[in-house]
Amino acid sequence: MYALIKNLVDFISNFTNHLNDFLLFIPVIVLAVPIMSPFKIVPTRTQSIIEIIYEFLEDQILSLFHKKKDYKRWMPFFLTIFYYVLILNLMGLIPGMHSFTADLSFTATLAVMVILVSIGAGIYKNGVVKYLINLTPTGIAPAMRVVMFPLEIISLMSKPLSLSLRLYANMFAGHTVIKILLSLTEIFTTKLILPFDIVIVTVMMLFEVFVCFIQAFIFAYLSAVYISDSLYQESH
Amino acid sequence: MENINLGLACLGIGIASLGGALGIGKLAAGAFEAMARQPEQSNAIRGSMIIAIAFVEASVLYSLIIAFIVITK
Repeated sequence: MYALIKNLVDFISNFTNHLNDFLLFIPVIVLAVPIMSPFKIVPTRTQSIIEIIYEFLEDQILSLFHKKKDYKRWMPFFLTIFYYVLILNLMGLIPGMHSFTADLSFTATLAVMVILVSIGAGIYKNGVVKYLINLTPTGIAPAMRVVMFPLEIISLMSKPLSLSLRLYANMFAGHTVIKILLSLTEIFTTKLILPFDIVIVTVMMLFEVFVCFIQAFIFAYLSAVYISDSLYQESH
Repeated sequence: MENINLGLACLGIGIASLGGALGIGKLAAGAFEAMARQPEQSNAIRGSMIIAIAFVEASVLYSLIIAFIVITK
């Protein structure tokens, strides 16, 4: 039995660098089981916390999507992205666990997926030619629009780059700064700095929790901005 | 002189922090003035300020990543 599990873990962990941490998802799934009960009208405590996060996202995204039907169709997608990135970020703060959003491959996958969904939604709504023509602003001369077309393509290609790099840099730099701050007694070669070290590392970890929430929200909000941008291209 | 890459990486991240601190300071100044004019909307202003600070900090952290890459090579 032990050899079976060992072979399975070795087989899965030989695909990528960090996939041998997939067993770390098991505590997350175990902790999520009490949340999956059906929602009541008079909310319980965990339901209230989820509703706070949902209303915060709803305020921001409802101002982007004008029609209620589109909002109801797209909201689960943004909520999934938000909770996925949030839990992946928060897993890096628990000692012994590793956050997957500190790898460029994870964040680049999510960002490219969001941009492909936005291009696909625009093409599905308007057709390929109309979508490409409406990338440039409408009220100017056609010769000027031909000139602006490469610039718009460059700005479209830079959106997944900045989206993925923002999340990756925040998570990776945060973890690295905490690792450096934890080894402060080695850098100063004295143990007298230990009280200051504890205070500084505690403050940095609290700031890291805050940054995790903010970066997850910004990822979801910017993906909503890009998708609503390509869905409502006529009424900019 | 053979280890000039480390020194230049430190200089680069220093200049990037300068730009980031200036940006966040200007942003916070605008937010404080707006909150002083209309105190009943401080919650919305505070929320928007925090989102804008995250964008500015992301631009600073881009150069920190490049400094890490230069140092570990």
